[in-house]
Amino acid sequence: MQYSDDTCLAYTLTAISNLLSEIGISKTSGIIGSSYSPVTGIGTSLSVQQQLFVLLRRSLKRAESLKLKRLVASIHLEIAKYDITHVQRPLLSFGPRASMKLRTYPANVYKELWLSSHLISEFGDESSIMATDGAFCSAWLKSLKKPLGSLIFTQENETRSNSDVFQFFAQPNSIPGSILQLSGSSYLVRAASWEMYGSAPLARINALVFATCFADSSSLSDAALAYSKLIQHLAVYKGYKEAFAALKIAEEKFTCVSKSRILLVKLQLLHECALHRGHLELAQQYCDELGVLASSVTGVDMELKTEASLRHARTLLAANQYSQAAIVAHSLFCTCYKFNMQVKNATVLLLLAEIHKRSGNAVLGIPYALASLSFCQSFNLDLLKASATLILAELWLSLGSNHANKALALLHGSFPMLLGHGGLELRCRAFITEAKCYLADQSFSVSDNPEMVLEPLRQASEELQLLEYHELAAEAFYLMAIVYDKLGQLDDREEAASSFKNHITAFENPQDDYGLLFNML
Amino acid sequence: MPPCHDPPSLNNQIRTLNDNLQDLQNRFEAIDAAAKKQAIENQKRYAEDTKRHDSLMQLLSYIFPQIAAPPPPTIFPPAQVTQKFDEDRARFDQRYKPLMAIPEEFKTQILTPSTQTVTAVAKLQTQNLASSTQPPLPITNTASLSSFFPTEKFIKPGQPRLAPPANLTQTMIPQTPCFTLNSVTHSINQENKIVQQAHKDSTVGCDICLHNTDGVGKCITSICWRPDGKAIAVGLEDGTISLHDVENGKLLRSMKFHSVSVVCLNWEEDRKKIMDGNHNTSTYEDRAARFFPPAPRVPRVPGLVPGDSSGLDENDDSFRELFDSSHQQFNILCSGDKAGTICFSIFGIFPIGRVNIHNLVFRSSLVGNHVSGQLMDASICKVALSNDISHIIVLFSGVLTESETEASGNQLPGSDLQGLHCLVLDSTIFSKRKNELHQVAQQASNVEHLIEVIRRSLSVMSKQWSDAMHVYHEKFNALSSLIIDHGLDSSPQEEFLSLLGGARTSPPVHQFLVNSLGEAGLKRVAKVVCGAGKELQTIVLDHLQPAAEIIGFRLGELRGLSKWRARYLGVGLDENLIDNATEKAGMLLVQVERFIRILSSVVQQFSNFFNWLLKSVKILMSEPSDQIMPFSSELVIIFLKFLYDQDPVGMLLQDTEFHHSIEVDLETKQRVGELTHFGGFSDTEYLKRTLAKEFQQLECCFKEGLEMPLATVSRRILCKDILPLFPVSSLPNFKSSYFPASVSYYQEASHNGTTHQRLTDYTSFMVPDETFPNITNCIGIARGLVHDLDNLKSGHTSLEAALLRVPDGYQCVDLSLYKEQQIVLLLNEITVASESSGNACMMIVQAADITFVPISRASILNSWNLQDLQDSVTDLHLESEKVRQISHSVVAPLAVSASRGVGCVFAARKRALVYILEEDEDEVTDSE
Repeated sequence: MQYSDDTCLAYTLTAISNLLSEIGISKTSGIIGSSYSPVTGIGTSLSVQQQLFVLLRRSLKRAESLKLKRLVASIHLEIAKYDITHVQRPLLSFGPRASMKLRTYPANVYKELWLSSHLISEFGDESSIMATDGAFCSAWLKSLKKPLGSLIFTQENETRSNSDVFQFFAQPNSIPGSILQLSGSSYLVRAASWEMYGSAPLARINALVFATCFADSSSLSDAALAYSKLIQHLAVYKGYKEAFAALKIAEEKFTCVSKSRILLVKLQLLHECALHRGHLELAQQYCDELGVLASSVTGVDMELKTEASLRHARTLLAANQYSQAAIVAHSLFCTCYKFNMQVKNATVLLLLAEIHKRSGNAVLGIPYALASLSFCQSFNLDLLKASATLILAELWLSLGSNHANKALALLHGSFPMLLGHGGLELRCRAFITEAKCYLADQSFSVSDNPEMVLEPLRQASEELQLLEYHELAAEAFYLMAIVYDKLGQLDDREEAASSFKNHITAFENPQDDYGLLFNML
Repeated sequence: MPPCHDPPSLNNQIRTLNDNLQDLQNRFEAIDAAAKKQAIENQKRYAEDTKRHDSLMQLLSYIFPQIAAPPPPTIFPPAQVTQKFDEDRARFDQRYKPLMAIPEEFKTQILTPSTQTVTAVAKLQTQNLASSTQPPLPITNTASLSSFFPTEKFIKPGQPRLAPPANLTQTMIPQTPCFTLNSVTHSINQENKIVQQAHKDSTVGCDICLHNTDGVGKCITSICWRPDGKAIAVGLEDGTISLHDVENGKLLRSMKFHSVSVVCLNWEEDRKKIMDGNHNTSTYEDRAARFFPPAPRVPRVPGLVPGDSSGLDENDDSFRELFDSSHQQFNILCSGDKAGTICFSIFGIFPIGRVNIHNLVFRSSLVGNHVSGQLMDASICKVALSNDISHIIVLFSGVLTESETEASGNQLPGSDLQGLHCLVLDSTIFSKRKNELHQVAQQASNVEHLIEVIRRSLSVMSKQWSDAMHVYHEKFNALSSLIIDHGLDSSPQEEFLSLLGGARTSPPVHQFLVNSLGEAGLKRVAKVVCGAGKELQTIVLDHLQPAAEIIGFRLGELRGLSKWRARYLGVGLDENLIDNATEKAGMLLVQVERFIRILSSVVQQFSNFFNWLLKSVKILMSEPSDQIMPFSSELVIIFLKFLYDQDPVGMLLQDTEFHHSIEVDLETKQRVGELTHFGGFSDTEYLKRTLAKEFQQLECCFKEGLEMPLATVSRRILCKDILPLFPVSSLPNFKSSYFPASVSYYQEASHNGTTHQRLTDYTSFMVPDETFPNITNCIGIARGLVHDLDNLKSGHTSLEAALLRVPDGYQCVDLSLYKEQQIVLLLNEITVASESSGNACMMIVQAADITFVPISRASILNSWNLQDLQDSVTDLHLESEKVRQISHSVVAPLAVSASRGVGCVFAARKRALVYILEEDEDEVTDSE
């Protein structure tokens, strides 16, 4: 009897950890019930997450000894999820000698995922699965009845010898659904991890693998998550037009169940789009709608809540309400800190740096950018780190033209990341900043090598038109016009100037293209 | 204790308590005193110890003054040694200089008293070996086999008697790039293996077993060290270059860049970075190391004894290790072949340039005089990349024909120059685009390695599965013949189905199960098939999938690089091509996932089927069948329908000779089509391909993507200058003759007085006697060839040359450039009596003492410049130069090491002698 209790306990632990990954727990143990006491809170005890991680490890051991393959796999998956966003602190660290290398270890995440993927070769040993006799019958019968492709075309086009023989490939799998679900969600974790670590191709590919191979066997919410990842990827790397087209298809596909996930993506996209086009009231409206989606209970849906308030701050920033934006960002930082959301913290710090940059306080912005940089470094957020470097370069550049060289060196150091894995917006900002650095550099002469400035500006303006980011596009064209003017190429200058005018008017009067945005709602 | 006491007993108690207390106190005091005493004693003893120690040290320092004050490390010219070299040298000196201060009679070391070896050589010297009076090794096909010498700097000075124990030597190896290898030798043993023996010192040796190929052993034609000294590149007769681990001689990598024999190799590290200091901020990190555990290895080939396969495994391990360490510094391996092709490969692995000197457009350095020439029948003798990797000097023999001269002046029609020429190639693209090339090479060579892992995995899997299927079919085919024998008109599947349904057990099935297969046979088949399935699953999960994923990541990194067009288009990294390859990598990942699913489902169904059969057999034989695993009858039906005579796993592993497309169900097809709107793969038909086919396509796309950098960089390696050295008459063995020559680059301060340092190239060569009438027994030195153009612009001295005449009675055998613009000549005394081995000597000539004559380049390309120098030949005298006597005659290969200050020559009876060139005293050393 003891064994079954253990099994039960192990499963419960996994369930708890699963819950925990979705519900934030405040660091100050407010949820547990004790009153807020800053003295005991600092450094004395492990965070709740840490404790849970220890429990998870223990249940892993237990599950391994009980040979519960699926449980082992799912615990590995949970550990991987935990490892992505949490720094492994040594449980016992005393004195100055204890090494405090606070870093996440992506290789460990990979190992955990790899371990969990071994389930697929082991499930045969678990006898309980074999007992579900008759479960596949209906599926197989259904598939046998199904026509393979259109029959008419088959006869005409594909004159294969075995076209009448059903191939094994086309049949539903005999692998139990729970196994597939587990190995499928490992791909989702991978995709999420690559989004954070900054490898755009791998993030997309992993989401695609999930969507191709597991979409039918996994839960609808997982499938919706994969599709929403793909849509987000499209929006960031290809522009809004394609993303909205894909969103339409996805909305039809997932009408019934997971409205929330797709709705979330939709609101995110609409907010971004409105922000880029300069329609701030609309942006604020979407942002509020996003915030409403979250539950009102403290500590639940933290991800959503922080995102809503981050977007709120960005909208305020776009409206040039710097102090309000800074207040929102500060309170967001406090929340993130309280709930131990360190990864989010990096983003918030970056936003603060951006706010200071925009408000003209470059000196104040630099510490925030540096803090964000160090956060990114310890959490291996390479892409975010690159964009922090970009902001740092922008800050240096705004300190004066004698820092242009330094800014350029910083920028070029992270160019492979920015250009290779960054989205359209990031790339364009990088290009424009590069051009600005060259222009600000006193030793650089435009007439000697104009292409060094023009090429990045051209690339930026092309991509910005995809993104419909009017403000930045106007800036790119403005710079271009100046360069052309210097070079004496008047026709080109006129062209760039008129493009600049188009964008700036579009930015200032965003009413013109309401149509598309409203159609989407 | 009761609460009530009578007073006397209480008093008593108090007294005893007091006594006890007193006693305790006394004891404490005693202990205290003892401790004090002990402490004093300790102190005394310590003082004594110190005194003794001091006196010992005094004594020691009296005996060994070196230990107390190690001599300051010798400073080497920066051009020759890197910073690391210096450090290592210093460390080495500290440890070994005291040991090296040894009596003179030990100064010569006898290296390889092995009967089957010959000392290694850096130069091709077929004839010399063959014609020498004492052939150094019993080689069966001497004519085609050449032997080699390690390039400079790797020879370790002699440390004969006081040499540290072998383990000490071993531990030193990682620290010092200066190799402990004294010689590399090779010979052919009975199994037609070329065994290359690398002797660490006279006692420790290791064998590099190179080839054991089907009877046709390939001959080594050139050899060189990797700059860090951890690997060795070997050029072979058939144009293959193979890299070997020095520690254990394992083959790391074998590449075929050439089609004819590789004549010379030169592996140069970029030292500019170290010399310049690190002003380069864009340091690039290979992120894969952070995000992935070490890359998967090639799977073990099954069926091999562990001893056999372990070599394979370790091979892979050492590859990785050496490869990683190789990534520290940018280095380029140049290789030149007999047909005039020069290849450049980063890390010796990633091909980055290929130039055929026949196709080069020749330009003379003469300002305003554009001469173009054509080259015929060229064969490369020597390739030397400068330390700053921006120039290459190529010595080659061939026929130079002037095809057209724009400035019509001294054009002599048909002035073919046949002989040895010197060519300067401009490879500034290497140094300019160093970072970019480094990064591309780093990612691409890793991807190549992973592709190899996948290829091997696929072949291993295919082999294993087809073997298992063979066993399975062999056993089960018996059933269908049995059915025919029994005159039944049905298929095995139907018979099994009726058995499952419990309707009847037909005689053929009964006979098959009970008699021809039996329980043991069934168990064996089940074990083979399921075992193979499990093995396949392990390979996929442990090798194939991780490799595919890392390929995806690395290609993504390459794609990221290619998007920085301003930088990477210059090295030919094309965005679209790399994008294609990345897409293919994604498709491969989907395919791998599908394969995993199909494989595990197949394995599950096979084991289910076998479980059922086993149970049936037990029932038929009326044995208890409780111990059998449960089975699902539903899966048995499915198995019989789809898997009994089909092999989906084998099909996916096939690289399609015949177009066998995989059927995809409608739902998946629709989904894939739909996904294109979500940014999915635009090629929606990819699931119809097999896994192996998909892999082939990935490989193809990757190759295509890397063709571009190769072509782009190759185009930008240009000819800068050409200088004819001396004519060679058209002897039949013209192409294979050996020209003693040496090219080196020395760093020297510029004449401008600025701190700017520049490299000056020195090319020294022996002038054959028959070439010029007035120049006999001479060697020539040319310098400043590389900087000729710049010099002309800035009005500085241009190319200079000098001729040195070897002292009378001596004959130059070989020469080599040595550190600090010194030249070491290996001279043989000309003796009349043929049988007596005469004396020889090594002569060290200071290039600074020689008067160089500027060469006018007016008559470029159509005459031999050396002719002008015949009046200014400098005579060398034994008395005026540093000379080291050798008491026997010597044969050609001479190797000197600038960092070690030693020279190494052949001695009698297949030995090599190492001479310390540093020391000033020049007494005759004893060879025995």
